[in-house]
Amino acid sequence: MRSIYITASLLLFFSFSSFAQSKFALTYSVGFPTGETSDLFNSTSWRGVSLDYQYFIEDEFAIGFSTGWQVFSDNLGYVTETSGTETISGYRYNYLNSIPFYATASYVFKTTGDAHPYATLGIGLVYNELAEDTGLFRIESKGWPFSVRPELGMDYEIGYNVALRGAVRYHYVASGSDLPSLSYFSVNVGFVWGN
Amino acid sequence: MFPLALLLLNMGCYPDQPEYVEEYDAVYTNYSPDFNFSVTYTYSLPEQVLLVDDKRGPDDPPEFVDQVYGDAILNSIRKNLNANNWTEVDENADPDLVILPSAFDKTFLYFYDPGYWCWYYCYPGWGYPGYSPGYVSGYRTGTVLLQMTDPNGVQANEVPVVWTGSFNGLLQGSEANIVGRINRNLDQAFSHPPFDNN
Repeated sequence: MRSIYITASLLLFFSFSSFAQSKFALTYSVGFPTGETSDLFNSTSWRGVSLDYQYFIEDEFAIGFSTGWQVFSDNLGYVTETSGTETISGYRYNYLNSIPFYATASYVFKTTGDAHPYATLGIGLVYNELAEDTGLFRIESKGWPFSVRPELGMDYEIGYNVALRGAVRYHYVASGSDLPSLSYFSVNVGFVWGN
Repeated sequence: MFPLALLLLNMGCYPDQPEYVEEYDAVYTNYSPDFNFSVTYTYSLPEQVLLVDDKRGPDDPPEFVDQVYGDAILNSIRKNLNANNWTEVDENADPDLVILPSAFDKTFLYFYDPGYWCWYYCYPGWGYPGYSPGYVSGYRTGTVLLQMTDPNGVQANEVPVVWTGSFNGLLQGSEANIVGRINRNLDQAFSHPPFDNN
């Protein structure tokens, strides 16, 4: 039954996408912590990937879907923290696994050359898993906070229906579910292909 | 890009894990906010460190930690309390406080059977006035747990535990490495509040 669903979904997806122009993008993502995220992570995240789909309703306007995975990690060294009468000391390692799911709307600016600048707004949820390890103890928080992601980027055509993509994104992530607001910037580079 | 994506997936969710066994050590302390730690006390210590084993029956004789590690634990406690001008006395000399050091090497709760201690210091139960001790658990880990009890504050057959200190880490390393970690981590425990102001 599961394979029937998958096959039907793929047939629907490819038949739907064959009627109008659509684009896929796979990009490598470098994350830069901001706000409360930078309180937990001092380091840049070099581990990230993003997968985007755009379906063009008009020449300049597309709707779509975006997901990905960004991993922040940091060694904060030997830390002592006191809360009330309790104190804990140990080497602190923090980890954040952030997996966003956005519905997107994109506007592609009219140009005559091979470069196509665009602006995208994504709205959705992010699955965040934050782990704060002190020695063998782990404090773990998970949640699905609301997120908005504005994006500015450019696609540069390098062949028939194939382009390079560069983009800058700001991932605003609301607080909630015992998680702070874990926002970050990202720079994405990768490939775009479509029909 | 697909190989890159697969590589990223394989890197896993938790990169950059600790490299050295010392980096897995953690020290935890908690204390009664109602107890006055700013004055000096007399205290007593047992001659050995109790090994807590949940397979031990209530009538079984007590088991103790290997002497080299037990001595390291007891000497570190003495050094730190004496540095606060506290005075060690015999348990029969009516000490202000009785220190109960124990160790265990598997998952275990703080609230273990007080009957373990009847060879040295027998009370039906522990009380934690004004605070709640956490719990320790782990896999292939060792934990040293210190309980500082106030025999003069017994109420309803419960002896108040006015301070708890523990450290937890991996049971790996040479004898000298483990003794060094015992000393460092107990020094750290006695640098936490409320001892940091003394």
